[in-house]
Amino acid sequence: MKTFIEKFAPQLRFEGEIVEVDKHYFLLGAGMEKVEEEVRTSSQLKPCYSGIYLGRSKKEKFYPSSWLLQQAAKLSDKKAVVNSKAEWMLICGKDVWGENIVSSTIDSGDVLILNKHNECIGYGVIEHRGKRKYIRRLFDIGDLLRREHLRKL
Amino acid sequence: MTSGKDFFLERYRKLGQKFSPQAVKLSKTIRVNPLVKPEKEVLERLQAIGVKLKRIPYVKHGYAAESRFSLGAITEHLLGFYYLQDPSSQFAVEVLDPKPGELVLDMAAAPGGKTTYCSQLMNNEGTVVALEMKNHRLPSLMMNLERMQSNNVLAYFLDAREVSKLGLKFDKILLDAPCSGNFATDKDWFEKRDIHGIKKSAEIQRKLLSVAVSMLKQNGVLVYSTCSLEPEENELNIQWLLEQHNVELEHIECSVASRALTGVFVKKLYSSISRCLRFWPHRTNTQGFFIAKVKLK
Repeated sequence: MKTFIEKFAPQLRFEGEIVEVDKHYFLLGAGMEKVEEEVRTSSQLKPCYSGIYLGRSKKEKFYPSSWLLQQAAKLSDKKAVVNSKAEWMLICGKDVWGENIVSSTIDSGDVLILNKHNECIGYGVIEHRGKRKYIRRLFDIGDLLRREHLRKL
Repeated sequence: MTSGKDFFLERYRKLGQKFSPQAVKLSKTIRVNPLVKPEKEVLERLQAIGVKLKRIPYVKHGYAAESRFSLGAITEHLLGFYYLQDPSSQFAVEVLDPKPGELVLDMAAAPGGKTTYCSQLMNNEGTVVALEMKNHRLPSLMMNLERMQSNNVLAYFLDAREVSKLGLKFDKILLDAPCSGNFATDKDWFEKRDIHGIKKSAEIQRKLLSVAVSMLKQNGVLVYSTCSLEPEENELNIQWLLEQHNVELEHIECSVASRALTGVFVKKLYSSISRCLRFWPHRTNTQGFFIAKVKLK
């Protein structure tokens, strides 16, 4: 999570305690911390979900939550806006090809991917294949549905 | 006979409702989530992509939605702009009326429709303690909490019958109890259910009701709801609750719902049970539903 934040929004600051539960990260505000502590004192129970969800890590890769993506996008100077066709392809897990990139603040490297409404829908890396520019997808918000679908199988 | 379509339709007829289940056609309905995006913008966005919306007047953020594509598969849904939710379920949370700063308990939370609505009405202030006892249902709950940006929830893998372990008392408690369901949302319901299963379900619901009452602060509110039409899980449970505990019912009003029953087959119940509500699918165009609002005396 640190690497993700340093890459895209190093100036991002959190108010509250960051809690980890089985490689899932949460931001817990002061009021909720008190309730959580009371429960833990009374029962030894630990929550499986606590406060603002920041994301999860798996095999060295970080999967940010939608909340964290939007916070990072507000502050980041590494953004690419894609069109509606690319938005749909991205949330289906596909890369974004050059003709579908409406604008980008950088020409290569790590980038947050935004739709035409300036909502962050994923992140990736701008690369070039010959003269052709594209964004290699690393993460998209379609991950939510794919995770749920996999769990049901 | 203790099961089957004829058996249940005859029961409903004796409860004053004669109808054909085939005539019940539910619309797709959504609850808009201003925690993520202002309601007006969500409506404009959906209409711009061809979704036809019609306001549901008796709930605060509910709309019937018609589209040629799946509403669960678009960016707006993934970003948490709305939740696909029956209006009767939305109404139950509005009856609970969770407020910013309160400590709220959702005793059977997954997949999170009512939990996320609690967060929404609380403006993500205060705390919602959400319990789920089935491990395989936790991922759906967590996914919806994340998607809807419900940032004030502590979720626990815990059987709600053991909720006293938490050592807390609550301002508001939602017991949307596990129940036998209803024919409007399950086309095979009549074949799957029988009266013995319904009575077993009612026994568990009574245990949950007892525990819920014990967790309320003195001026707290408990909302008991089911998506069942069976009086054993609804009015008869409330009758039992009133007999066993020092509680009273608060009047609930809804323009489309019917008053709960004070006569169930040959049994006469307390007249105060009419303060509760029933949603009959053929009258309300919703799933079958029951809501009771309970306070300590």
